[in-house]
Amino acid sequence: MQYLDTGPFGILVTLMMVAFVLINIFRAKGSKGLYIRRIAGLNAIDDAIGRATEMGRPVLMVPGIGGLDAVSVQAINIFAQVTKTAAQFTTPIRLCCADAAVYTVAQEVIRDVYQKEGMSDRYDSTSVQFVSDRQFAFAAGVSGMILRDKAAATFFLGAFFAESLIFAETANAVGAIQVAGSTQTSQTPFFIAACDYVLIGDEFYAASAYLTREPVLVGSLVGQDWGKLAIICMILLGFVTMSAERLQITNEARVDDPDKGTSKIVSVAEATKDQFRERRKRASDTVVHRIFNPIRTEEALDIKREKDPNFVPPATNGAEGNGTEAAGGGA
Amino acid sequence: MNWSKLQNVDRRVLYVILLVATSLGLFLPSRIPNDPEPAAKDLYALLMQLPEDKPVIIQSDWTNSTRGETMGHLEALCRILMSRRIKFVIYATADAQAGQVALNVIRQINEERKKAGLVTYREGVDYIYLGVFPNAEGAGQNMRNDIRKAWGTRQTKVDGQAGRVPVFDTAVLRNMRSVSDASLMVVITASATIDVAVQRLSDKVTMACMSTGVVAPSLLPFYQAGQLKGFAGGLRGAYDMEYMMAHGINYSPTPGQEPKVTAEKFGEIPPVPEGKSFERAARYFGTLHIALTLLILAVVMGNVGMFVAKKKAKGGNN
Amino acid sequence: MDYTLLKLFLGVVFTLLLYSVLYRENKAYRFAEHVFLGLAAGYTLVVVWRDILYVQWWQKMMGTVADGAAPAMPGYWVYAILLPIGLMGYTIFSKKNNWMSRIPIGIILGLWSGQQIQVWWNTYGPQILNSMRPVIPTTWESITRPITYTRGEGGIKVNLAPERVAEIQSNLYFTQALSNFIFVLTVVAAFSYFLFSFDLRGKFLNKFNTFGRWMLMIGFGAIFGSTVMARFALVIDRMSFIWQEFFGRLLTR
Repeated sequence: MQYLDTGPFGILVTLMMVAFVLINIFRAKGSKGLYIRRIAGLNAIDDAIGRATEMGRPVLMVPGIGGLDAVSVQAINIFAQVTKTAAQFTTPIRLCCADAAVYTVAQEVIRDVYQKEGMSDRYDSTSVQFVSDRQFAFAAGVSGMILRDKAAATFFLGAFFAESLIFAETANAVGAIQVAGSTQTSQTPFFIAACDYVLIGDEFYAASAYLTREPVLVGSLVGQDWGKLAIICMILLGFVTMSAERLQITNEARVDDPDKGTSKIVSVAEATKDQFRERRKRASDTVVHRIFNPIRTEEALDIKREKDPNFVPPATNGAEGNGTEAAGGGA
Repeated sequence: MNWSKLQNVDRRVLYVILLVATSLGLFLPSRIPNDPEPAAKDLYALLMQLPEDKPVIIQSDWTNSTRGETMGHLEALCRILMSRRIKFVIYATADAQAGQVALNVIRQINEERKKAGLVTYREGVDYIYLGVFPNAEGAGQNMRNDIRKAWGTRQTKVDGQAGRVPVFDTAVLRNMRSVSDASLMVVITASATIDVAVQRLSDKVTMACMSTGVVAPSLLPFYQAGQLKGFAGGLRGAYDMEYMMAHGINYSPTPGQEPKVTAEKFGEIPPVPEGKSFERAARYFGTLHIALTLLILAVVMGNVGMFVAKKKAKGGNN
Repeated sequence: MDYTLLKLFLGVVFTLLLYSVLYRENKAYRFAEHVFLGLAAGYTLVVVWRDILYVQWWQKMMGTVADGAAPAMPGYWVYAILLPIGLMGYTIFSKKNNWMSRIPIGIILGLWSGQQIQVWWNTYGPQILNSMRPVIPTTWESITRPITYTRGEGGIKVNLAPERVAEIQSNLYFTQALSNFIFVLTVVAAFSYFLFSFDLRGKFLNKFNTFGRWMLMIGFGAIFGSTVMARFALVIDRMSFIWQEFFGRLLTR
């Protein structure tokens, strides 16, 4: 991003977003904790585990099929909370992984949860399983497990792709309570169709921040909220001024040259070849448009450098130097 | 009628019905009258109005797994560019196989043109295949910063010459100093690589997209905001392109006849001057209607069945 | 020997083997799956060396000699530093040293995060501007936007006078204003649904939030439809491959 490309406004807004996140991470670290509202899908977690306990059937969790990235780690964070509750009720758990690195991390995290709760004896080392790193082999393996174990509650949280509906359908068939959430917008509808509670979009990140209360996650979430509010305000302000401005008559018009990437302001008469002296403002004539798309004149783009009087052009060398440049210039 | 029985039909029966219906559909005539999407009209108009002296950049990020949609897209794009003698450069970022799959399409269209007695496209002269780049973010960012550095190490075969030649020494890319020197960049994708391309390059070069139906809804915000100048989404998008390749926009073969495709913002845009127009997407489009009709029927029956079952359960409880 | 036909035949056989899983999981399906995976992995290995490591790294590090039209290039040893960083990724297999595998991941994530900040405005700036739409009609002469041409004799299209066209293009008509209003309302409502650090109190705010959720659901419905269409296109393509491409070629041979 260059100043000339975007103008000061774009850089200012970007810096503001970064600042919002940083400020709130510091706030979250310092104070008693920042407020995050409870999400409907999270209320269902305790109900689902309670039901599994009553029925004596396991809780099954899948952190998606993505690699070890922010999404998988946040999913495992949520699963750690689920496991904590399950451990208290001695409800058995199954956690199925599709990635070796995710599997290693998940295994450590789940073992830690049991240890912290002082129930190391209840930890079953086979409860965290690596099934397959191939999408549909993984889908078949997990579906089989759901059917065999008759899971009472299932949690599908993370990066899911085409296998999402296979899981959701199978779990639906055995009558499990399902809580799901995918960071892939294209898969969210499938979960909505087949699951009981769905975390939509950012709710997934909010859920892990809410449950873990980790300052970096909470701070980022609140910082993003500030950013969203700022954008809402910008849009509201923008649509009011845009509505007002479009009612005005102007005698100046903005003319863009997309080939050169330059623009200039000329009289309407010049822009319309003397057809009109004035006209109603168009979107491109408004102040809002100008803030977002600063005017770059030809003069601003034309950088003049003084020649170095002592410069001696180097002698051309047969094999080297006249490769791409010389051939390029010769066309 | 016993609705609860319908609810419990073995899914294998449904698969057979689907496979039989889609197979039979292929043999039905499928020149369905169509009003292309505005975004597809924009894309077609853009392609037909490109200057002939500047190259087009094609980022081809699909493999055989989405052949049903994206192959039709690349075929349509190549046919338009070849019929207008516009040079292009093609590369892949998403998958190792994507490059070879794209080359196969170019080869197949060349064969088709050879059979029809039309000019064929020669590697290194009319088009260049750059190869695969390891990641979309890095490739896009490098192209934005300095295209000569980003592609500088790549070499190509030149038809009729021995050995390989740096790509910037070929007729296709000789005049390209920055990515803005391309007249258009088209991303054909089955994944989120279009997001990456828009983020890094849409303010530097005119950009358009052809994508699978899964990706298509996420393109609308880009199109509305002007970051994409046009797009064709899914099988419908491919059929839109083929339809306009056959009928043009605001174009009537005989004066006074109503054009098959109209759009107020364009003047007359002719159909492609040579080569095939209706092909893969036209073959599939009629069948798609049959499959979707089956699906709608299944949804309706499923819902009625569920409603009846619920009513029965309620009655039983009382 | 018709190699294309042989290629198509193998394609058909493997398509059928893979589809056999629709009946039930079986050994033929497993076999086809493993062949597919093996081929993909082998092919990727070649491409990664040929298109990526060799040209982007090895040649830059070792330099090249002049060959035909390609000039000689000096090597640059600094590229060698990338090798140990990349190799650290493989320490994931060691129980003791697997912490090292996080170093390359950390570097990649760091570079990626920095770039995300850089491209943020490029992505969202134009979309924010596009959301600021005027909602007050500038004229009431017509509810909808009039078309800019008429039909002359024999149905031939005649454009309106340029002044009239310019006027129509500058004006905002009621239906346009209405759709702009719905758009702005939807954007703000959907946005407000994703605010987590504010307690939405009061009837109005809660209703507005619910409205945002409804709008999201409508959007998801559209995505659902589009995705289903995409999946059907894939089945149709396979059927076309079997019936039209393979049998078509076999019969016209």
